[in-house]
Amino acid sequence: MHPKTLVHRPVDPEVVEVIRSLGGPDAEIVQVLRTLQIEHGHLNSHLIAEVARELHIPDSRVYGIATFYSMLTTPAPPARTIRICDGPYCMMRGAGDLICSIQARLGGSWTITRTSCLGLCDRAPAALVRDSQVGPLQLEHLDRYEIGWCGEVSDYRRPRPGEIRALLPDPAQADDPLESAFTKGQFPALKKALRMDGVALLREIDNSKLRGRGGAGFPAGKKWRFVASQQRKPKYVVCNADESEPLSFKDRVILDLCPQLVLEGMAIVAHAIGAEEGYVYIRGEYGTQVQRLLGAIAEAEERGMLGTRIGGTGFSFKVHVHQGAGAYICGEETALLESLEGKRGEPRVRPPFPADRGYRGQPTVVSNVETLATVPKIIARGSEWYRGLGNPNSPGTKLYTLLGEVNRPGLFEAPLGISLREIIENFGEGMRTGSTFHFALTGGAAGTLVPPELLDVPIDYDSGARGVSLGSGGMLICDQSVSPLRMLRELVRFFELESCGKCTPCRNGTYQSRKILDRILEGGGGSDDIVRLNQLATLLRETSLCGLGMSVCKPVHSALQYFPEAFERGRLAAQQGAGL
Amino acid sequence: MTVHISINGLPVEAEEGMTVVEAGKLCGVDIPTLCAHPRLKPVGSCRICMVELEGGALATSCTLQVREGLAFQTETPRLVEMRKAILELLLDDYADVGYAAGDHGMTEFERLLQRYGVKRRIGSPARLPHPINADPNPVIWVDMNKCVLCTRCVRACAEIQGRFVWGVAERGHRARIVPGSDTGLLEARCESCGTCVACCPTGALDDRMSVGAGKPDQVVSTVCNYCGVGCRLNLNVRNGRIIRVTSDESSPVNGLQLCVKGRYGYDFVHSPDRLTRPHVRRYLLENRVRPAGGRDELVPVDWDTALAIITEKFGEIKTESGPDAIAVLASAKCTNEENYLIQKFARQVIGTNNIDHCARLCHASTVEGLVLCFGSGAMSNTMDDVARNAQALFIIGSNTTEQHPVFGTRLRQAVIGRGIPLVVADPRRIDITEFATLHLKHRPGTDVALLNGIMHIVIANNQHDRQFIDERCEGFAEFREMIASYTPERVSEETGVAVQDLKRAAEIFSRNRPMAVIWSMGITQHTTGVLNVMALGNLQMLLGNMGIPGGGVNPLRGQNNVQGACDVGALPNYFPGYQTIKDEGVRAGFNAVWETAGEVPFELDAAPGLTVTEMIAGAGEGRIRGMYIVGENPAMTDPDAGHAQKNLAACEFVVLQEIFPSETSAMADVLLPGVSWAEKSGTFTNTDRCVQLVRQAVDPVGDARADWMIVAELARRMLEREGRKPEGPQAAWEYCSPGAIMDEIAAVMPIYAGIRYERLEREALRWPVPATDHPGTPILHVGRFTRGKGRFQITEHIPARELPDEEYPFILTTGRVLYHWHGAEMTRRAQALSELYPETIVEISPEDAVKLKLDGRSTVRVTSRRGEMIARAMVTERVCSGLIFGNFHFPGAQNVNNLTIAALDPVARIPEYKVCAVRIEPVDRERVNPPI
Repeated sequence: MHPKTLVHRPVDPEVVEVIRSLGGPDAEIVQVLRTLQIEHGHLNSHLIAEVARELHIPDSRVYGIATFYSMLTTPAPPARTIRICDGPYCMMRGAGDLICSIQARLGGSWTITRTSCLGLCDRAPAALVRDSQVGPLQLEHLDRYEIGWCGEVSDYRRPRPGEIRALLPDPAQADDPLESAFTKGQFPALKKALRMDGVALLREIDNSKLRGRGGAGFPAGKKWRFVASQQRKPKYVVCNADESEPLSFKDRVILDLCPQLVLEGMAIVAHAIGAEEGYVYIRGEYGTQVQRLLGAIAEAEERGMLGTRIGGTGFSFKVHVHQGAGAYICGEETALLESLEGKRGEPRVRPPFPADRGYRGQPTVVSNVETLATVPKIIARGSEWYRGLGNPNSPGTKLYTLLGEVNRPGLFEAPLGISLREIIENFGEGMRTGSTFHFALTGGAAGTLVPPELLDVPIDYDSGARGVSLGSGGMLICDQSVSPLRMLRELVRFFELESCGKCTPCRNGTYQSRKILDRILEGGGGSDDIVRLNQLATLLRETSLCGLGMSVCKPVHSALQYFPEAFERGRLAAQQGAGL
Repeated sequence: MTVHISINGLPVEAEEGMTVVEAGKLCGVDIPTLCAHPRLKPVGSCRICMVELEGGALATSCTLQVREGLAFQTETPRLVEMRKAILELLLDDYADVGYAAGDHGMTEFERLLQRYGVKRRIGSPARLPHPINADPNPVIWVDMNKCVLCTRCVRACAEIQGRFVWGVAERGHRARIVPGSDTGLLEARCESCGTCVACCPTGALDDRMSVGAGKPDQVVSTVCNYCGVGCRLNLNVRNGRIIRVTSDESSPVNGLQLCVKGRYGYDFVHSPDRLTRPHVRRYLLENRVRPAGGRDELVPVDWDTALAIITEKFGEIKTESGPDAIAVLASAKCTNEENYLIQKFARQVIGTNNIDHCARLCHASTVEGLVLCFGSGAMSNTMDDVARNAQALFIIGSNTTEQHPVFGTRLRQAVIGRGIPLVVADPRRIDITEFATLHLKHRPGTDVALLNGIMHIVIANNQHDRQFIDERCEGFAEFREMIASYTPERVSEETGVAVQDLKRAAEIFSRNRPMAVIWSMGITQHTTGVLNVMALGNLQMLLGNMGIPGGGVNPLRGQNNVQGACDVGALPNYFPGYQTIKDEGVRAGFNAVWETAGEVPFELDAAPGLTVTEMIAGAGEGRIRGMYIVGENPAMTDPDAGHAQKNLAACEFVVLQEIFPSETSAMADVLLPGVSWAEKSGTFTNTDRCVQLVRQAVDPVGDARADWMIVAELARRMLEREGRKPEGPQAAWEYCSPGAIMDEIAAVMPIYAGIRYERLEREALRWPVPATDHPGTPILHVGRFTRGKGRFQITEHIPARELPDEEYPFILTTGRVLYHWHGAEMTRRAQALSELYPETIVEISPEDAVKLKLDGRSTVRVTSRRGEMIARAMVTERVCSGLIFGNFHFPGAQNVNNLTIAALDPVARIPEYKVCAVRIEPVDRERVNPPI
């Protein structure tokens, strides 16, 4: 018995009030913690214990959550925090130096921390200043951020030359009544879908050959059909808006430009599979997009396109928004579901798959923002139209996020199956003056380091095997100034920091791999280190519990295959004290 | 369904739903595992157990279920390399400085390292990432340097213990196991059960008291000596001392689980306080009369002297005042064999039915009430059955998680794992209410009204089981008439439970059948104890919940062998096996088997004897001149303890057979050193009638002797003094072993007829076991009640004897706590337990604490019409305003029984421990004596 149990203390009234305002016993624990953190700047053991008491859940669970998500802070830093992105592109744009110089400038009054890619690569170097998106972060504007200025915002309303816009709004089609209905949130596709049955809808999706846009490229129709075939109810549609793959910010742009398309897509899928409730799991760093989404939901509910008895039919569909709190792993669908259930975002062993046992053990569709946003267009214009775009294996269009040493970086929509060279030349308007192509990182951190000889490989969901990953569509073009070895170290460090720690290979393998790369970069590495790095990558691929651990091998193996000399050079250079 | 699979190229038949690991075990293929544990849900996180499927894919065998045609390899070179690599990764974060190297053969993790030839670094690293002894918990040793993050402890605490103390904090390589919010274990509400230790594969969690104690010379499987759950445990013995208790997957009752007392409360066996020699008062040695001022000093003597004195004194009293001037108290802590001998000693040798034991103070009302309803007084179903099959649980008057902790956790598991509804009726917010669908907080002493009210609603809603009532019960019409006046409104008024909650309870029970009702002292220790029990009998007949799996009446017996002590006849009105002494045929039978030849013809006493409470009163009145008390402490545990002590002090000749000097030894004339359960063999019968072997693990301390030996020797001497020779087939007192006593028990009582030690070596048997080829009877009253038809009983509400008034404004209710056992003679001498709960504590509500200006650090004096106690006041919502709770684990001024009332149930003669009126006042801490 602990002496504390002898004393009676009512639950802290502040905690009681916060929980009451967020739904009482049903309050989402992460939101409770985030709310308290906004007030206190951190979560101390008192707050954690009080939340546990008031929600009648164990301390260990609240503490486990409070220490799992990067946006929740348990030790006590000062209230004001700047989280500076150290994603690969922000690092290239000097985020590392910025962290040091801002630290020196602001000192003790602010807490300066690093954070994994914020999905603001087009505004690099980016940061969250008191949880608001800021970028590009510039030393000279520090005082302005405090009063709410957030830097320059990119504008993707107008397509660049060569773009084919099937998903994003195309001002050129503003006169098309169907297209304008989309942009005005009138849910024309849902209206059409409500006149069709689930079988017909899924046939349309199958016929469109739409594949999951989160990166894995699983045929969407097949996944949804499996959920539709389940007898158990309720079923759920979950939109994966946890976009956390470094170099990817396409979902953010969709949510900024056309959130109603996502909602409409969710409703159509719900109708097709027999679900009445949906969740958008959105990463905690996308505060602005949460507001966009909530606005779109309110508007859709007002128009009778979401809620009960939609369009006067028997179909009801309610959409909730769940904000994450900083964890890349929650983009993995089973980790996302765990997190949605108010737990640590640790992936589940599959099978069973979410389609069978998903949210709260019920049949669940988990699909990416881009996938769901594409659905209304397919239903409205027909699968044949959609299949006519792109190549036969991977039809349709894709959003690409192009970054690095090209003349015109940023986001664009284009058919699948285009090559890196086309991307650089046709959409990026060529390499910057003085830059020559050295390598590209395609598909994000879970992607490949691509050498010049693969510039002409058409990129789609199957091109990873040929050395060029599509992933979620992020492409970072690097010139001679960037060392593939150092890039690799940043990527491995990212995996190390974002590993949930559940399975042995990922928890310890990412850590050991990063240490090896550090050693090589610092000049202490031996040739057996390179062998060991290779072995660890293979071990991670073969034995990791989820996709996060498995994908570490992609950058490692591609770097070892295409840039072996970089490792050797890195070793020697470091030994000679030269920089990279 | 059988599926055909191929393991390492060999065809194997397996059951659908099995995992690959289990299928491997089936055919002797040992797939290595680390995070997987047979008792825990698989998480597939360590990745050691991966196997290679046909086609080359790898899958974790702890999570993959077999299916038709599944083919896999378990030990390919690729798998071996992979396992080595994973073990090496784990070793990178593992540091063992070697302090426990001598304690275990090898830990599971070390065996894995050895199997795959992975070398450990020798010597400790320069800097250990974690402190070696990281938690102050007195029983659980924490050294996270040896943690491999398998999370078995996290899952064991959540899935088995239902406590959720351990958790994972942080993520990635920084992930670590922490208790609560990274506090200490106790602060994180750890119950110190050690299930996490039992599940840990590396020794990161260890039994603190056993760290460095070395390897056991022998491991003895026996049964726990605390509560009636009857957990099997293994005593690890080294150099004649118990150095550790371990649990074992194969135990029929508890599996791996033990509670804090069972796992860590063993060191009292080796306490320096143990009685190691017989003692007699000096006046007896010097053949004087007892000094007028009371008993003089106790002098250690040899066995011969002590036994000669007892023989002489008992003989003298018997000659002068007749056998009924002697009373015998048997012990629910002793084995069946010993209790059988003790009652045989009273009946055959002394010639009296003045034989009783502490069942009187706990479940006498259960036995009487259930016999009236059904014809048999025992738990009708088994704990395992209830946990597995009940569709709803109703706990009334049982603090299950503290008093029957391992069963309590089974109930938590049933609620968490199967999602069945749990209704708890208890005036206190006891721990299990955290898992309750509905908590009925009725006023103490209003159980009958509460139950009648619920039954009224069931009948009003037409939810009673007509068919069951018609076919199997009688007396329903009168019962129905009686219950008519218990309207929800009236009952709400009487009990303080809202009408809607009464309705909700009735609805839960109606919708979820079978419901199993579980009770304990909260039902029985009332002046209305028998009525309470009968009301529960009525409820289960009404709902048709009798004689079926998952239902039944389930009184939880308190002591390790209270069920057995009753079974073998340590009761004033029953011969062994509940054969009533009033029955002439039965008496004739026992006259024949126990017959002795002597001057007086042998004839067993035909009149029921005195109960415990009557014996003590009789001692005060001079009716009882001699008492033989085996392993009981009435001076502490009887109600109105001050009065009980006076009565005992007045008794002419008291023999106390004990393992420690107790509060009662002050009133004893002779002290005989008995032995603890670890020093003898025999059988215990647990609360669900399961008879299990108790095996001797260590030698008796000093001159102490097994209780069965002492009783037999005393019997032989008494018979010899009276010149009687055993004649009947079971009359003699020559026993070579406890097994021989069991053979005699089987011969005289039909419910144990088929029980033999050879069978108990192999199987758990639940009585009745009418023949040696009978498998035992897990569920009673199947198809037919023991008495034929079940009898609905008339149960009218009667208020408790003493209710609060202006002078004594609080209701006091009493009970036990997790860390101690009854009078706590053993647990106060178990170092860790007394550290975990060092002093008496009364629970008081926050509202009353404000009024009385108490803050959780205060000491209070609690006074009743009979006496007072001094205790620490715990301010807690466990009790509501107007109610306080105290325990009887601490002697002297700390004893709650100084306050309790000796008001008895008219039928069962059980005292009303659960309700009396008291007042409370804060006292200065300095004035507390002895210092707390």
